[in-house]
Amino acid sequence: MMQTETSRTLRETESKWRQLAETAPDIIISIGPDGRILFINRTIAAFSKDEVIGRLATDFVQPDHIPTMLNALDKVFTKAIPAEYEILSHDSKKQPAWYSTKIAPVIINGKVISATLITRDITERKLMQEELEQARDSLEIKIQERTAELQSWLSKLEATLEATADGILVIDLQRRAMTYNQKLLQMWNVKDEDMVNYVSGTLIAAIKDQLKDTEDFLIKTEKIYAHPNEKSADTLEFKDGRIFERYSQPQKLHGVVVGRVWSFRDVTKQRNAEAERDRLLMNEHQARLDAEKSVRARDEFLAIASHELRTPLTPLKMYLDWFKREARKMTVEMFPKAQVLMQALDHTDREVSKLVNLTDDLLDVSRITAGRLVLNKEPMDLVELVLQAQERHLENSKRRNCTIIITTNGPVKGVWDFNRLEQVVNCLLSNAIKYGAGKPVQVSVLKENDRAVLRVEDQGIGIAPEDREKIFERFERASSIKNFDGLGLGLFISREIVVAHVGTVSVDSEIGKGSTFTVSLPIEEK
Amino acid sequence: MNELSSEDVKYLHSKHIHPIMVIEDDDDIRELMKAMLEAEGYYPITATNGKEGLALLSQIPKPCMILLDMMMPVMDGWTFSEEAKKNSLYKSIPLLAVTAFADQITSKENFYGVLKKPIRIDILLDIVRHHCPSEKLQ
Repeated sequence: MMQTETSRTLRETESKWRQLAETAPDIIISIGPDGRILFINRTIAAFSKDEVIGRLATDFVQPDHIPTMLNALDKVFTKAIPAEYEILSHDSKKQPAWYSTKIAPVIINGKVISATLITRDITERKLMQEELEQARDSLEIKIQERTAELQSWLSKLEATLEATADGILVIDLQRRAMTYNQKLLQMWNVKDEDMVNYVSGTLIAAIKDQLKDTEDFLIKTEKIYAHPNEKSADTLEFKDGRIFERYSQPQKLHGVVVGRVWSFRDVTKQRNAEAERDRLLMNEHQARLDAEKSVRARDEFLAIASHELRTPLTPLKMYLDWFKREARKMTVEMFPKAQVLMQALDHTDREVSKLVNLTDDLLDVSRITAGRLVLNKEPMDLVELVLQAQERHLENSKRRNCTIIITTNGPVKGVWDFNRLEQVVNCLLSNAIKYGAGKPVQVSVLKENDRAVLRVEDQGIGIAPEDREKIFERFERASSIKNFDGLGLGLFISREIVVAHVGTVSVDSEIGKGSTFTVSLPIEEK
Repeated sequence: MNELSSEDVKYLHSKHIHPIMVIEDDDDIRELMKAMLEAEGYYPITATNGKEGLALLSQIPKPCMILLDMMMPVMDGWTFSEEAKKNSLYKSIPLLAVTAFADQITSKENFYGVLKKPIRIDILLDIVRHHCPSEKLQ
């Protein structure tokens, strides 16, 4: 009865266990001491329960994992203590899957009669764990990266702070020095200790007496602190002559003002250099003004002097002219020295004429310098002008044994200033005669395209290349040229006259062979 | 100021002499012209500026020619020429501009001619001879 009772109870228990086992999510396997499967609660892989039962448990484990399993079973059977292991295998769909297996001994009468394996698919847990680990790893990497970045920034900041030529000071809202650089200490003549103890006012107290205007400095500083959101820029002047530019701006954290950054720049050298430059510019400007003034004074003097010289020359020349006219009427009977008197008057007249020409040149130069060269243009014939000029130079050319040969192709008409062009032709002709060494002077007046071209060619001494431009310059240059009589203003004035006519004048020359002056004037001008 | 006596004026009118008027502010030049023209048998009447010249014109017989300096105080040669040409009595008198700078005469309309100072006496007398009677030639 007892036995029946017991076996019934046993059966019921077994039945309950089987039920439990079959509804459990885990795989429950019972293995005998011989390693063969006694029970399995569900099919595994492609095998039916019947195919599994009675076979060695190791048959269903990947060869790699067999030792792990055997080890655990051995522990359970020989030592009667539970064991567990985790292995990587495949699930029913041949996908990699993690399994956790717990093995417990079934002991009856102190003897291990079987082992119960509970195997659970822990792939999901494993994956989560892995992800978690990965996340933790990457978080750690990120923290390391940010820390390194921050350190790099800090070191850059520190290096910058020290490398900058400006003194820098960061003050918090309680006016404590939070950061500063060594330059700041140098500039303000303060020590690190002063900065450590720096609370409101102490730094200011240490430095304020260095300034030229302490009162002004204090007022300005308080005004800046009174507007914590605003930037500032001002200049500080020191008793020792130094000048600082002072800038400040609010230091903000998340948009909130937490302090103020001050920077100080020593601009003493720069300011001094600027002042020096201004002074030099001033001097230069003054020197230029002085030079302009003296040039103006010279030109004014020139204008006045030439005008004043010219005034008495006019009646002098006219009287001489009259005397000559009257003297010509004298006969030797009337006045035995009539001939000598006539010659003397001629000489005097020539010299006075030279003086008149010189003063006229000076007047022209002062007129040109003042920009008052006025042209009175009228229709005229350049050939006629040249022929008249030849006539006028006849006496002069004969005296020098020089022939003037004129080449033309008929009239060359244009609208020009007759008197002024006459001056140009006179100048070129008298130069050609003077430097022509007694050889013929060729003059041509031709119409070439739309221009009237006058060429005066001598076969005389020629002009050195370095003097070819100089001869057209004003007296300060021309005076250095040898072999030129008078003031050498003729060519300068001639060029100005030609240029005023929108023409050009040029010279070709060879030393010892002669010179050719070419004047080109536009014809179509009304 | 030019001293022209009432006798002089009477003489000119009675003899029907047409004088040469010389208007020139430079004393030396004015005196030279006067002396030279007189020596050549002409009748020069002088004035030191345009205004004086205009005043004289109303007193004397119509001049045969006027030698006119351009740059003068009080009234310059340009103004004088404008005034003279406005008056129907005087507009036919030949005006000879006498100037140190010929280029100062920008409009030659009012002038019979322009002479540059220093004047060439020969040229001046050539011109004058065509317009004025001379005692020498009579």
